[in-house]
Amino acid sequence: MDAMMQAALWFWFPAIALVVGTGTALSSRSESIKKLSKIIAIIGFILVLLSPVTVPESPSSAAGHLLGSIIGPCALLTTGIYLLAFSGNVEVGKLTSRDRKIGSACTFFGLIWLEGMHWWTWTPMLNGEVNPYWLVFWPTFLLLSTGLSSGAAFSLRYLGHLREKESNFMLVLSSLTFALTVLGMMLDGPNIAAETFRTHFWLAASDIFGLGVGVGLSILVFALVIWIYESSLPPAKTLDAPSQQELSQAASIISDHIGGEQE
Amino acid sequence: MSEMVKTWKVIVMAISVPPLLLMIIAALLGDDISNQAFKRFGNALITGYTFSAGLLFINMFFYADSRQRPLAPLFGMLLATIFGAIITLWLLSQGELLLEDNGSARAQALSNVVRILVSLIALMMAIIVSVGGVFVAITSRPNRKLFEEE
Repeated sequence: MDAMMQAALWFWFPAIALVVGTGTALSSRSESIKKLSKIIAIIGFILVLLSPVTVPESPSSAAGHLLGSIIGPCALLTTGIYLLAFSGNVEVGKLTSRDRKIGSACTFFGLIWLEGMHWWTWTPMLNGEVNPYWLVFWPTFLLLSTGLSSGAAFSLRYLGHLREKESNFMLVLSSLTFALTVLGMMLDGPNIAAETFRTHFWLAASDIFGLGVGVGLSILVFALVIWIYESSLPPAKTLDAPSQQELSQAASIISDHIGGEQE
Repeated sequence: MSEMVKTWKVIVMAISVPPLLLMIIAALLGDDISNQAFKRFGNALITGYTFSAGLLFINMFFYADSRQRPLAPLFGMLLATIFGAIITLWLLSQGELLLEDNGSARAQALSNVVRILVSLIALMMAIIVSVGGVFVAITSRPNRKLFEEE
């Protein structure tokens, strides 16, 4: 079997199964299809994770390696945030104070783990080099987190009522990711030099901007297709205006049902 | 200008100002990667368009469901997706125009698809951190008294 076929079999088909399975599991109404989609998505996910072993010569398998490397800290961070949010002041389904401590620990270690991938020796390495997709993921995550946290802070301040404390918390979060990005641009990590990080920061910014324009264009085309179709439809059939007899009949029915003085 | 429009302008600025500041800092540190950045922008644009058009084509089935299954919009969106794919392959086969470190148009197209998926994972994590952060901040505060008891 040639290299292309092997990559298709061990990476691309599982990746498609993962995306389609997740989409179907989230959108299907049938319980049996949902269950089947979940199984397909899980199998796809495992095969994508195993792709650095099954097709090590394919460059795409670096994505499977990255997924395997970041799944731990990302799961810790997500679980931590969930536990912290639902162990606070919520009316329904409040978690215990023990869950809050676990949530704090998960969030803290998730962040440390992610930071250690840049500032320490935990960087995802493939064949002796930094995984190229880590250099896509990390600057993109920092850049988006800074912007979105700042946006959330100002939304709380301007759209919320008496939410200054929460807004300040989000500003601190935004400043933290901002500072981490600036530090990455100026100081060398053990595996990623500051210049390399700056280059990939620019590439991540270009990526986000390009993706935004591309997605915007496709939405515009989608709206255009629907508008052209809708404007080609014949106008909807409207009913004739009611006759005098119909109006007086309606008036007599209405008068029978209002008032109540006869009772 | 209404208050609401002003508020939305502030929020859009709040989202875009920190990344812009970071870009200014990166520019001041002085690297010339305009050629690479242009290639990356072009690749992201065409891949983002084709990928998103494909998803919207699938979404068109749901629209068709609510309109007695007309074929015209489905066909229109399919054409838009195929057009995006053809333009992508054509641009990638123009030699050095959009080729990054990959040897062929096919390798570049596949690399673009993988990169878009990695960027989407990064976007998802950034949303989890920022939206989750808002929830954590809101639920961590003690309940506020809305009315004083008489």
